[in-house]
Amino acid sequence: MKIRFIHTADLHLDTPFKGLSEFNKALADKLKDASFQAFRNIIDCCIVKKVDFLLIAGDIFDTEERSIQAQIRFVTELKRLSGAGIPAYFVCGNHDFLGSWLDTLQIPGNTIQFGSSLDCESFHRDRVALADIYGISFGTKAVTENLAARYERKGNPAPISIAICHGTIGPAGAHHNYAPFHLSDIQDKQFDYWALGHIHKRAIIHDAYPAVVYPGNPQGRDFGESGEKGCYLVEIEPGQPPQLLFIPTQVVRFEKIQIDLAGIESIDRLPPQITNAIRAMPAYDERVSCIVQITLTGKTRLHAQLRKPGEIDGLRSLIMNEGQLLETPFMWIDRIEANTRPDINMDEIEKGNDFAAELVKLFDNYSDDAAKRTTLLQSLSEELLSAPIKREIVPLSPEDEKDLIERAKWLVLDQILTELL
Amino acid sequence: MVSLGPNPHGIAMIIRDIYIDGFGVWNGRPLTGFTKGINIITGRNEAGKSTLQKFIRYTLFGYPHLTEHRMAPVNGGVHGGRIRCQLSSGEEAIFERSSGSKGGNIKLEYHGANTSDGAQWQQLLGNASGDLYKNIYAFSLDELVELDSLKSSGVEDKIFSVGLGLGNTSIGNIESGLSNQVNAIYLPRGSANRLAKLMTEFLQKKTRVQEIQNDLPRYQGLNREIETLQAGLEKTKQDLQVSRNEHSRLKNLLACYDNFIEAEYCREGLLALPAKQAYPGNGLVALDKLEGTESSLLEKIRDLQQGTGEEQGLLELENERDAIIVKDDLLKQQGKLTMLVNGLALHKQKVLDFKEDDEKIKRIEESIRQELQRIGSGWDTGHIREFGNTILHKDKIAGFRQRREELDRKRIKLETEETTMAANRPRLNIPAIAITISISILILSIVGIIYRIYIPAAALVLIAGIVFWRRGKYGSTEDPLHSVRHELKALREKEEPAWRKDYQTYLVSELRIQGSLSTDAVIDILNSIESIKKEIAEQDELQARQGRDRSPSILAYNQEAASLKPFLDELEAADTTEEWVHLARTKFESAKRDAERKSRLEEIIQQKTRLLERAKTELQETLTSTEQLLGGIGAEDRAAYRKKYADNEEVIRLNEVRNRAILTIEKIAGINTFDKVSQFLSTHDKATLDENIRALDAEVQLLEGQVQESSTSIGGKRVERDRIEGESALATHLTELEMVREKINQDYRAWAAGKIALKIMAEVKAKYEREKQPAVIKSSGKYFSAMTGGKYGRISVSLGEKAVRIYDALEASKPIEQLSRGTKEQLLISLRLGFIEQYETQSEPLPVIVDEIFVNFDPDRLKETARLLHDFAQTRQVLIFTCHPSTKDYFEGMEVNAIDL
Repeated sequence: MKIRFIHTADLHLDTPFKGLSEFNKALADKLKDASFQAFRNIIDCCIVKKVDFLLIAGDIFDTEERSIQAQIRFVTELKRLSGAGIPAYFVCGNHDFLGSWLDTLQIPGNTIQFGSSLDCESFHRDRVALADIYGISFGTKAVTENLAARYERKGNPAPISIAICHGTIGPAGAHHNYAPFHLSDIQDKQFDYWALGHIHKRAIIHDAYPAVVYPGNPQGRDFGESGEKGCYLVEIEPGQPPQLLFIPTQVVRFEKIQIDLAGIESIDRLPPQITNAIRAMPAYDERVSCIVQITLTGKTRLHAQLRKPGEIDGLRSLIMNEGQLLETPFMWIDRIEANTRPDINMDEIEKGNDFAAELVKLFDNYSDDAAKRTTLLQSLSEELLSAPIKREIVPLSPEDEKDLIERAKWLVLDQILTELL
Repeated sequence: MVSLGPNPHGIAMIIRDIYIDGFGVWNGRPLTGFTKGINIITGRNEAGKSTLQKFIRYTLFGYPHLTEHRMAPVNGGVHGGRIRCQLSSGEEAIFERSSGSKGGNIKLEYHGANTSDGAQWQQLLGNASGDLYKNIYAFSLDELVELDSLKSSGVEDKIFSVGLGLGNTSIGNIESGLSNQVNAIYLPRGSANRLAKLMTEFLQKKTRVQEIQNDLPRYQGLNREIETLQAGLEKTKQDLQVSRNEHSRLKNLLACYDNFIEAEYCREGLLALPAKQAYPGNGLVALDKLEGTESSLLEKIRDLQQGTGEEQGLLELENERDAIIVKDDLLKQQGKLTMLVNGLALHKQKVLDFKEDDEKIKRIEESIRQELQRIGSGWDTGHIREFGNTILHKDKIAGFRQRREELDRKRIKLETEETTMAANRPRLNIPAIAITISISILILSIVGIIYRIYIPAAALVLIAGIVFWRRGKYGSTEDPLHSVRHELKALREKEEPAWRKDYQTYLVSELRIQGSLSTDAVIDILNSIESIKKEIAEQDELQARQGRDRSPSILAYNQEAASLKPFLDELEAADTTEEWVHLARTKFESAKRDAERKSRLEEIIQQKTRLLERAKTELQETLTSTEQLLGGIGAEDRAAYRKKYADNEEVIRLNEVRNRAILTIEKIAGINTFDKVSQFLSTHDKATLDENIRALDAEVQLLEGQVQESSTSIGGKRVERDRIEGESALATHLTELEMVREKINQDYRAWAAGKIALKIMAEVKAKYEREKQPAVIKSSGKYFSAMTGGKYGRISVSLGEKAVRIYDALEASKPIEQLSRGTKEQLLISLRLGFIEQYETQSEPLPVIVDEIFVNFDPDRLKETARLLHDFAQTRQVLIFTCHPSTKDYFEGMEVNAIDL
């Protein structure tokens, strides 16, 4: 008996979009419903595809944002799903741990919210239990225990066993290392499907026996969450490997694009070059709105021209304007960074015996020497007296520090090497 | 001896000629003869040496901004002039400039063309600025000692930049540019920098976000309060419902109270009455009906006998009938009277016609008499009656008159012809002339024949014939007047007398009237006779009609009318037959009416008598029926009958009222509840019920108030909760916050990059200062060492502080402030020469101008300096301005170009 369900996670409803380079109210307004709309798209998909149930593997909202709307609208959509006779099962993650939910919220009768201890709910069709769904919610924000290890099938199980779990499998990467576990911890537990959440990049960790899947978040929220975002439509037949179909649900897509200007002689060629690069992104869908950061790289004769004040802004306005935000879908270029280099032999410069050569050597020395970098940046931090500003400064990674020094180097070299550029 | 670096351009730019249109004391002044190498321009004080230097600077690099500094010509002429130069490339260019704003108006003559292209002008001057030129290339003694002049307008930086191998790029400019950038982003103090503004914006947005986030506990609290209030409200609503039900029950019982009392009253009433009887349903109605019938019959009998206001009774009718006496004998004359009445109109017409005929006869007799008198005496009606047929006589007389008229017309005609002819008798006899002509022609024709001219002769014969034949047309051969006169005579003498005789004979013999009467008079008499004849005939006819038609019938009618007189009483009342007839008819009509009325009364009496008899019969029958009705229910009389019925009706009524009351109670309190209600109400009085209801009313109102209050409170809290819900969307605010946060981070990184750039630049500069002195300093050091005869070895400059120090041969250092004036000037000349040498490695070499620089030099150093300048000028042009004619002596043995002003 086949079952069909949708697996999603990390909705992060009513949370902000980060990393947009300039303040733009129209853009902010445009984005305000994106997370809700992505969830609506999932509910629509459940109804249209007539799935048996919906699984949500935590982080439905961000408790630190203290959003009322997130929970209310979450329940509103669940009621719509319930109205279509489709039950939902969800666990709470680190962002929406059990204690953070509004205690007066009334979820529909056929929606199951798992508690902080392992529980099992059976899905029935025609009074026959087809699947057992197990889940453990985060009771507090920081759960460092291996929750996955606590999942055990009950006696006399249904033909299909599914585990919903919010946690980190393997290295955490950019994410908090909550509820960490390894594949080996769950491989022998005889579950058919591990519906995971927490990692925002979708990944099929293991194809079958068991299938271990992160669906990623259904809507990207910054340029670090680029690419297609959505959920998985899963079909499982006992004894067969699950069939997974990725369904895009995002309303706005975030992308970073690098364009190498090597060989490009005229700045007039840049707008079509950029437009083509946008269209050439993987799984580009013109029906989905898009916010793009473009980095121009490479050695180019256009380097000096691109460094002139207003040149990049002019280029951006050639490709898009504010009016694009009136359209749906829209295409918005968040910023264009000219990270180009002049078409000169830097080795020759460095070999020289003049001031420029000394400069290049010293900048490179700072870039390569972590201790010197730290000292340098520490001295900057001391100059930055404003505590409120300091609080909002994102700590720099070593790569960021190197980038900063490279940027500083070219601030000087662009002016010293004017005759060479 | 120092080894001077070669000028990479070969020969530097050389001023060849100067032409001043107007500048300070100069006007219309050409200055020529400038050459490569040393040019010593000598002039006494106030000869205009400084003015000339300024002219060269202003012309090449622009006039000052302030008009008063522009050296306006004091002796007239256009403010400006031109300089002809030989460029380092060997080409010639003329730089011409006139005073004006923004440096003045330029004209460049180059490559055989004139242009005002500022960029090209600048390029030919090696892009040097006016300040640079002033401070490095064209310096005076005073300027030389002004140390600050080195610092102005980045000249100092340029010295170092050139020395650092950066050409025109100014390290200072880069540093100040970067400083401006980082300071615009962040300054530890002040709120105008970008990061401070962004932070303010960030905090505002964060506050708004926190406001929304702070609503969360309130939202939770509201939800809990709403739940609690809702539970309390439900309980109050239940209590309210209980009270309302009890209130409703008591109200219903109270509503039943009156009906309960009525039902009780009926029950007691029934106990006092006999049981219900099954009397005929219409018993009382039947009795009422019989009594009604009886009453109306009695009334009818009385009316028939005694009469009513409208109708007479039998008694009165009989009296009236008996009082009428009818004239039967007169009524028997109805036929005759009818005939008389019918013939009365004809009779009256005949009497009128008779009178009318009499009057006509009299008028005719008068007419005849008048006509007879007009005809003449001797004529009477008898004579007329005998006169023959007038028509025949009139025809005969008409014949005479016609004949007479014919004779008259003939005579008049003849008389007229006679008169005319006599007047118009002709003078020529045309026919005779025609004959004569025809004869003449004939003779001519004969002559022709004789002469054998036959054809003309024949023609003449023919013409003669024609004229002769046509002669009659031209006149008659007889005299007509004679004939007319003959006829006229016959008429007068024969025909007219014959006619007259016949006529007179006829009048006298046939008509027996005078023969002299004209035909018209006779016809008139005949017409009168004919008229009288007609009137006589008419008179005869009228008289005959009177005798035949009128008189007998009139007489007969009168006799018939007179025969009625015996039947009438008032004989004296009528004079004429007509009145008699009318009277008789009136009397007859009266008698007839009496007879008819009596007859009618008789009929009415008979009819009423029949009705009376019938009413009496019906009355008897009604009384019988009434007796039977009373007996039917055993009533002795009508009152008993009615009592029985009344009791029975009351029993029925009481039963109905009671049943209705019970029904009403059960309708209010429910089916089959009467006994229960009855039992309750029999033990509760109305006042107690009212009191209980009032108490419940108060309780219900209290509870309703509580419900209202709770509902309002819940509503208010829901509104607030909904408001919080509505305003709780955070994504927009958070995204905006993130946008500002990102901007802060971007700006921080821009600031950090700028700061890093500045720090690393400073580090490089320090290192450079330590390890490598700029080439300018090195070159300058060589010049300075040479000028001081080796007393000083080298110069050192701090890149950070830009402080100059000198070192002697033993490497002991001295700051510039500790040098003597002369040595300081030598140092500064060395620095400038060193700069020019390095500067020219990358830019167009320009003419060097110095003004009185040797004043404070001792002879040895002066001589050495002159030699250095001479060597320096080997590939350049050096213009030395001086007021001392001996200056050229310093260059003894050296080639110099002396120019006196």
